[in-house]
Amino acid sequence: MIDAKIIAVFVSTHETLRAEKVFIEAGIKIRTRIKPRSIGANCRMALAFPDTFLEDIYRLVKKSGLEMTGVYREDCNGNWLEI
Amino acid sequence: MSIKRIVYLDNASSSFPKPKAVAKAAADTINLIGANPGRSSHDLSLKASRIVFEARMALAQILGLANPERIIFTGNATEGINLALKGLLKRGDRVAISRLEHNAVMRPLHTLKKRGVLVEFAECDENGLPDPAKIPDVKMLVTVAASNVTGAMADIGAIGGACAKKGVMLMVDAAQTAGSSPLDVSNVDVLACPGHKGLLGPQGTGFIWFRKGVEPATLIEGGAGSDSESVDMPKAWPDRHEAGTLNTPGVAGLGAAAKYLAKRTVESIRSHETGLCRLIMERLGSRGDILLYPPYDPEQRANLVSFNIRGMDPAQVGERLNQYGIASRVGLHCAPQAHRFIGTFPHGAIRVSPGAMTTKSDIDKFLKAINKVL
Repeated sequence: MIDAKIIAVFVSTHETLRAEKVFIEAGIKIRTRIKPRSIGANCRMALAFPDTFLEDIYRLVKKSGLEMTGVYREDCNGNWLEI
Repeated sequence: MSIKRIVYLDNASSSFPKPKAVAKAAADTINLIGANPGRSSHDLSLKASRIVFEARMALAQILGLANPERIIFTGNATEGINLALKGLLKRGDRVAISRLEHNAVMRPLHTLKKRGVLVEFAECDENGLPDPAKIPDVKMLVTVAASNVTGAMADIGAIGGACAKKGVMLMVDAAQTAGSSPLDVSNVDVLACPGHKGLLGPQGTGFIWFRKGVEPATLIEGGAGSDSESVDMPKAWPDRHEAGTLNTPGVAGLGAAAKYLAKRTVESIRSHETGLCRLIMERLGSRGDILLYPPYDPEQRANLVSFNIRGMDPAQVGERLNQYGIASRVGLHCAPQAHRFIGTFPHGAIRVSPGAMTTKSDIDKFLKAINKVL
C-alpha cells in the first residue's frame, strides 16, 4: 500500500486512467482511489502518490497534455487542500 | 443445416465468425466483472473502466485517431451518425452528400431537411463519390468511405485535403471499411464506425469520433458518472456524449477485436479480402448472364461484390443460394439511393461479401452454388 497524502484529480475517468498509464510508465508509484467527496464532483476517482513525486507529476501532466483539475494534500485534520 | 456447413458471405452486413478472443472478453466481462464503468470506484468498477479505456485506446491506435477520448461508444454506426448530423447541423446549414449514402445518413438528413437544413448532392465522379476538385461551399460534406452496394471506395485522403482547404467539415461513414481497409483520416473531422463489421466486434457496438474542435450538441443526456451535481452534461469527453450505462461486454469484445486486428494488421486483411473479391469478380464476370457493377478493379472496391443474374429476381437467387448453404444479402441493402444510382432500384441486387475469416474454399463453394442456380 502506498502511503500517500497527495492526490491528483482529472476531468474524467478516461483522463484519470490515461494519467495512471503515463505515471506508471514513468515509474511513479501511484494508487488509484476513490476521490474524497469534499473535492467537487467532476470525476469519482483520483490518483494518490507520495509527495516525493510531486514535481514529476506536474512535469508529466504538462508533457502529456493531461487534463488535470487539481492536486490536493490531506492535512492533519483530514481536510483536503488544493496545492 | 449446421452452422459449420454454411458459407458465410454476408460480412458487409455483420462479420462472422469473430476471433475467439471477442466472445471470451465479452463473457469474462459479464461473468467475472459485471460492474458499471465510470460510476462506482470499487475494484470491479475500476476493472470495467479499464476495459472501456483499453478498448478506446486500441481502436484509436488501429484507425490512427488522435485524442481517443473523442471516440464516443454507441450501439452502432447509425446511432453515431445521428449524433453527428443532429448535433452539428442546424436550420440554414448546407450539407452535401455522395450519391451512394446509406439510409443511416439519408433518413436523419430527411428529418433535418424538414427542420430547415439544406441537403444537396455533391459533384460526384463516375462511381458516385465526391469529386475532390469540386467540393461545394457547404458546412459539411458527408460521404461513405465505401459503398455498401457497389463497394466503390472514396479517396478520403484527397477529399479530406480538398475539404480542409475550403473549410468544409468532412464526415465519413466508414461502415464498410473500418478494420478491413486502411483509411487516411488526416483530414477527416467526423468518423462513424460500426463495431460488428470489419472491426470484428460484437453486434450492438460502434462509435463515432470527432476531431478536437468539432463540438456537436448533446443528443442523449443523463448520468455520465461525472459532474453529477450539474444539470448540464459534463464538458469533458467522452462523458459529455456517453450518458447512461455503456454496453461494457460489447465494448470488451470490440477491444479484444481491435487487439486482434493490431496483430493481424488491417493491411493483411485488406489484401486477403481483395484477393477473394478478385476471384469472385473474375469468375462471375466471365459469364454473359451475370451483371456486375463498377468499379471493376477489386483494388478500388471494399470487400463486397454485388451482381444480378439476367432474368432472375435477386430474392429468388438469394433463396436458392441459401438452400445451397450460401449466406448472401439481397435487395436494396438499406441504400436505395445507391441502387438508384446504378440502375438497380427497386429490385436491388445480390451481394456477397467475404471477410477476414473467409477462405478460398468458401468462394469455390459459392461459385459452384451459382452454377447450380443458373
